Amino acid sequence: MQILRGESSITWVIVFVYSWIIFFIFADWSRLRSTVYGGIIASALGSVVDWAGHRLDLYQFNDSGMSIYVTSFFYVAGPLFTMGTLYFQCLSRNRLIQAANIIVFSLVYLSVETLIVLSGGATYIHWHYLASLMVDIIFFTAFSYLGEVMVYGKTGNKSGLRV
Amino acid sequence: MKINLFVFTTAITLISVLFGAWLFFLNRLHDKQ
Repeated sequence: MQILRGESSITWVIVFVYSWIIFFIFADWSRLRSTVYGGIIASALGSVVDWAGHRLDLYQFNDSGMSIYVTSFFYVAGPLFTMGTLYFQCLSRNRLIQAANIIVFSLVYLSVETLIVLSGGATYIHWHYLASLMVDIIFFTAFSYLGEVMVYGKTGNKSGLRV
Repeated sequence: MKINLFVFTTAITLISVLFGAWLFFLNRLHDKQ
């Protein structure tokens, strides 16, 4: 297959498939109408951040045999959309659990990013793993607040939050 | 260091299992409420 030539391209497809497997296993379909906004916002913000990252030569996605737009699609429609949706679903009113949730999601993103860089799917130019970790933590912290307002705040249904 | 596809897939499977365990824990916690 011409479009999937090269190992570095395949890594994006693998991450895409794994993201959707996790999503289908753990998604709460009854709450999807509100939690899907997490996926949409994560996709939009992630796209903007990565566009800026490319423009500023911070890092780049490698596109051996696959268009950079296709690579970006697998990234945005895979881990960004599915994990954004699951994150809104996993919000907790217990601050300790919410803090742990931020750390877990940040570490998972950092781990997968590290694997992609090591496998050649992306390259750091003026970037570092610790910078990624800090961006992840800041993003998920802000995302938690946004999620509470968007998913629960507008209905005033605090009981929907996980304790 | 450059890892091959087998190492990549094995590592990402491990990460997915651990992450799934965390989500399962959160679901159980929610069900108990």
